[in-house]
Amino acid sequence: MDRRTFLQRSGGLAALLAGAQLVGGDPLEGGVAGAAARLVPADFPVGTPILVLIDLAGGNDATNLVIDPNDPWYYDQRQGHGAIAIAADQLLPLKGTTKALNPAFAWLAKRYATAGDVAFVLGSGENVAHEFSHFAAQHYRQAASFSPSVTTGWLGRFNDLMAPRSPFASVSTSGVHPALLAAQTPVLSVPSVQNFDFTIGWEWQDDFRAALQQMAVPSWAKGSGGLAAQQNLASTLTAQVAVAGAWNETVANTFDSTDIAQQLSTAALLIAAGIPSRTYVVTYGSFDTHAGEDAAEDTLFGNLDAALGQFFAAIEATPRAADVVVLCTSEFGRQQTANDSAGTDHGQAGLDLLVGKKVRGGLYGLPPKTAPADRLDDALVPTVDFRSTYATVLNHLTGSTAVAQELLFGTFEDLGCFR
Amino acid sequence: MAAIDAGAADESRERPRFWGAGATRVSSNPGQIAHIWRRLGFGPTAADLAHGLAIGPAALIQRLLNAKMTTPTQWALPTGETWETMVEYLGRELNLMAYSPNPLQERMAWILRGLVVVGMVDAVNFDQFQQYTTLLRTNPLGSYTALLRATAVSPAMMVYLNGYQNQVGHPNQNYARELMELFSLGITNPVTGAKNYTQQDVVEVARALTGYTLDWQKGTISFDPTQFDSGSKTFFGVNQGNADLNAVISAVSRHPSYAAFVPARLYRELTGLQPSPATLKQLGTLWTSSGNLRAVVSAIVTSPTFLSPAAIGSKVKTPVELLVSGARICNFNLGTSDYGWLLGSYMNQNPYQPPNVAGWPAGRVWLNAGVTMSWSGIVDDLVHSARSQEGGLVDQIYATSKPAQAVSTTLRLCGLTGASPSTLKALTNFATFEAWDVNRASGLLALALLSPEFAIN
Repeated sequence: MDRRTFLQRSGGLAALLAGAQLVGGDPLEGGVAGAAARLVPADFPVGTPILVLIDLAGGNDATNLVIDPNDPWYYDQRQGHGAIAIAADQLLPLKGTTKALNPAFAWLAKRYATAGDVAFVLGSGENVAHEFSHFAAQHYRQAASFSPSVTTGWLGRFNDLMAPRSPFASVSTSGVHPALLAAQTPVLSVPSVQNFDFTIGWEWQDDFRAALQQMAVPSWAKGSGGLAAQQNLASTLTAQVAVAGAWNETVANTFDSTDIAQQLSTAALLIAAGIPSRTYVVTYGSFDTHAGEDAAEDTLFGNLDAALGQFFAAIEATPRAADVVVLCTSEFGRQQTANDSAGTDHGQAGLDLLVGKKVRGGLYGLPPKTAPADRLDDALVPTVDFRSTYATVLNHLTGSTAVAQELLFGTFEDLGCFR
Repeated sequence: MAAIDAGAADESRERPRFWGAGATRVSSNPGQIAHIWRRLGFGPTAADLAHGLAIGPAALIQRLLNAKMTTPTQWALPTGETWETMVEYLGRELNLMAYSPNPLQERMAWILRGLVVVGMVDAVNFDQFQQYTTLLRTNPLGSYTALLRATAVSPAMMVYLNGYQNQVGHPNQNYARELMELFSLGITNPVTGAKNYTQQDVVEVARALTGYTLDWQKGTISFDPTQFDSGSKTFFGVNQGNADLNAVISAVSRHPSYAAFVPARLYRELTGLQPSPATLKQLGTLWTSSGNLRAVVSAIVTSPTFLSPAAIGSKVKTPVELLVSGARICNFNLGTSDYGWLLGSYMNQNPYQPPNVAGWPAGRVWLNAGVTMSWSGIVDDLVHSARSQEGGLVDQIYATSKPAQAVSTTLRLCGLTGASPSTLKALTNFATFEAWDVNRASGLLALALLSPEFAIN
């Protein structure tokens, strides 16, 4: 069966059930075979909270996203954003606050004012390592730990707890995001819903698939690369029919062709189809705006804003409209003094953005102090530990503060961003 | 790269048991020969295995180490800036990786591509990118310090990390940081754990790197003293006077962590294991401030650890490694297809666009559905090409006539020297599912290339 034939044959629930049957009789590990049974909607009922994390990779300049038009240091030519600061009359006011949004966020500003379900956590960052390196900072963020021995991601640990070994538990729309790395639960990477299938030569069909299934039966030693490769093949085979069956051309066509819109389209299609994943991670950027930041942000922010609008329009046409929360976060903010190439270098405090019907809109955290004397190597000093945002989200996802404590290796304040 | 990676951590902590319990061990020796080819090149053919077995692992390693460097004439890389040239160039590069008479040169150039990283993004043009790949391919077993100097002033690097925009006044810290963090020192010393530099050092080094400007018409870099910060700079705890770019590279090459950082990376790349402090110290004495790549690589691959069971099979093939090794096995001409879009959009390893300045991740992140399904599409191409070759792989498998023998022949032709009971059962069942014919033979080849064993490096 070629891709076209396959896609014609597959669709909706029939495909989900076919997926369940595909692995039903296989001697796979209980978790993998059991996962097919979890496809039944009763095991992932409407009302199950779903997180879509958008990683603004490269260090988003929070200072140029939520802007304080009354802060003279923002506009300062010598020690502020100067040439790349955005004039007050172009900003989009955040209703009821003294802050304003970058003009690229037209949809978000309107949503903030009308739906009241957009929250910004100001000053989010870390005061543990004061890390200016992308890769060290990303590690801390993804692991939610400052210990080099932690090799799982915070959402991977969440999935190990909530849906251990389910091939559907965690979806990454761009490769495998490290935040999803788990001890047991595989990461389902979905580069495209439409083309989510093996290519199998015309000479062989079911016998070839059967052989792939047989090769995936675990037989390498625990912990070995061979076993990991077998498990990947098994979970890929299990997920394949259900994921491809989530394709919906009408919905897909409502999304832009930009990278971020396409990734959010994947998430929306899978959520709409009832794929039992509580966690989606989207990697977007680069936000590493060392030069030409103003022009870069017009595109980066503008495409994100449009894609968020398309995503929520798609989700709100499904029964899971109230279940989905989007979290945008980044490894750090940027320095306050613009360099001579109209950019900013690596900084410290950034911001987190939450959107979704269960979000209680508003500004959270505390705006960092911007005067040069209050900065750390020209960067804003964080006022909120990023793990507080994680704890807030985990508390919402699980309804229990105990889970966040366990997964984050400590107690972090719930910021109260959810209704 | 510091990003978390369960696979990489596993590689360092546990004894890889890939060829352990449950394996059908043909013999340890073919496993070593295949391993040498996977790590010093891009995987063996059956002929490579036979040749390696005849001369033995030590002689094979020496032969690969001492192969004559190939020259630009042999590379025959196309020039030009058109889209067609880019496609042709990628195909030619992949063919070089698969078929160069000096496999280690290509392996090392590829390792360096993931270490001294330039992405063809933003304003980096293809002409500049070609100059960069040439720098890496010319002598990837020479002086790493010389390579740092050459890449530092290369237009590709200057544009990629904003070096040409780093001017006196408000310097741009981008290259200064990544030069130290990713290209030469790392954040901390791997033995002592001490920080290698401070944020203030980044600022001061950035000042020393000022003064370079880009000619947009010609795409070339030149030094403009009026854009250079000629004040005195202090970094690494020392007043470095009126240091410039060359002084920065010299200071970096004398930093205590310089002798540890790249040697440790090479050790991980080649063995799949973490070096012990004692090993690192030993490699550091060979490395010296010149960054002697040949001495360090030679020491690593002639050490007993390199051929140990812990090292063999301890890595995961990246998409580029899957493609190149599969093509070499199937005698497939990578210059005739454009796999750039598939590698990039579906497998996340566009050779011209690493995800960021840290290059590509390593380890088990590559064991994922997107890669596996895309690989099945490439395998389909490889197998149908092999099928059309007279006396090619499919013919050789078909000629075995006995299905049981066909399975072991297929594994050997794919450079696989061990297989799990699951894979053996799958191949055997498939071979006997219908009457033995060329369809069965080509299907066996496809399955072997899609097997969990083939995904391991």
